[in-house]
Amino acid sequence: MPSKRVATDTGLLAVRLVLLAVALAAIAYGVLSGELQVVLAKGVRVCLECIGIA
Amino acid sequence: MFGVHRNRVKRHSRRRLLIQALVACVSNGYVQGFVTGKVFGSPTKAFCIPWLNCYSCPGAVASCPVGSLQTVLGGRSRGVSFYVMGLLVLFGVVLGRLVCGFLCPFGLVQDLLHRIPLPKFELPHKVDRAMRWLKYAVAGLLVVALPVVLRAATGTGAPFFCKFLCPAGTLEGALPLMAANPRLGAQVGGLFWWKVAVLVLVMLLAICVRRPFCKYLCPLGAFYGLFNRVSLYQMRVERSSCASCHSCAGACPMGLDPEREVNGPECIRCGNCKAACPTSAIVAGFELRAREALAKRDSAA
Repeated sequence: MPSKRVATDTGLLAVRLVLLAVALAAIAYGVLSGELQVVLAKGVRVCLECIGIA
Repeated sequence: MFGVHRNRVKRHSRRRLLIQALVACVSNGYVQGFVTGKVFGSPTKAFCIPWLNCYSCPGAVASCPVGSLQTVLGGRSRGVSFYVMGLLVLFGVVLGRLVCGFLCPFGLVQDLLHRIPLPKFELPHKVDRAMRWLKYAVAGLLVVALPVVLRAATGTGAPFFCKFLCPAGTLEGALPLMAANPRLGAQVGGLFWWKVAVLVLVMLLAICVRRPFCKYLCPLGAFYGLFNRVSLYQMRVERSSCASCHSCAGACPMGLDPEREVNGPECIRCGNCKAACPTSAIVAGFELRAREALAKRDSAA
């Protein structure tokens, strides 16, 4: 069924492109809104929850 | 399984272990931290790596995406973490659960434990399949819902997954930190021992059952699994070459039947099925490569 296969491949390609675009847009928005600092601030300190103290 | 293919699986497993070990060493490459008992304070920690690797591991050079996601969700602003979610979707679309099979250090720990020569078993099929839903509950409840809903007087929510469940945090973060930093060791209480109990249980289970944490509890695996069918990295079973011998099913660490579930949400893309296949009916790779391999085989036939 070549026509069905082509349609499926096109659909899959569209899904991938949309997901990639959404991912890149989200990363850009997150970086611009200062989320990097939040992640960095947590990452450079000992996470007391992770080690079971807090 | 025929001898030659068993050897191929062994060779493939060794190569995979080597890649996993290399990734674990690189993502925890701040060796000095293990001596001083202090976490790495570099700006690289603003980047989230795609696998479960505790940012409180003294050697960690980047941040854990699950911990970072909970931190932003539980922050005072109650915001969705666009940055972390974006990264997770990006990794998911490109790799799917290839991350679990080849890159995750906690996957490596489980694979190594399973090599200990003690009796192996799998849970009954129905119990196993039912328990696989647990990881979605862990992701929804402990990673997303509870950090948002349950908040302390300070207005922040705790990272519930890290706090109550994550065995990677105990193994990579708590134990090395406490070994190198006695001041931290003096502060342990019930929560710490609970986390140690979870770690011991998962590790003991991993000796007998293949990849129990990945199958039943890992929120990151649950998330990446959603992308397996659409990710750029794909696996395919070529029906015309498949002899239905089920050698692939015998080699699968996730207990799947690759004939039916090769790109399903549970497949960690470890490639054992591909190595075990006596007729080379399973192809894997990024989409283009997989298609090229199929086309080459078709033209050769």
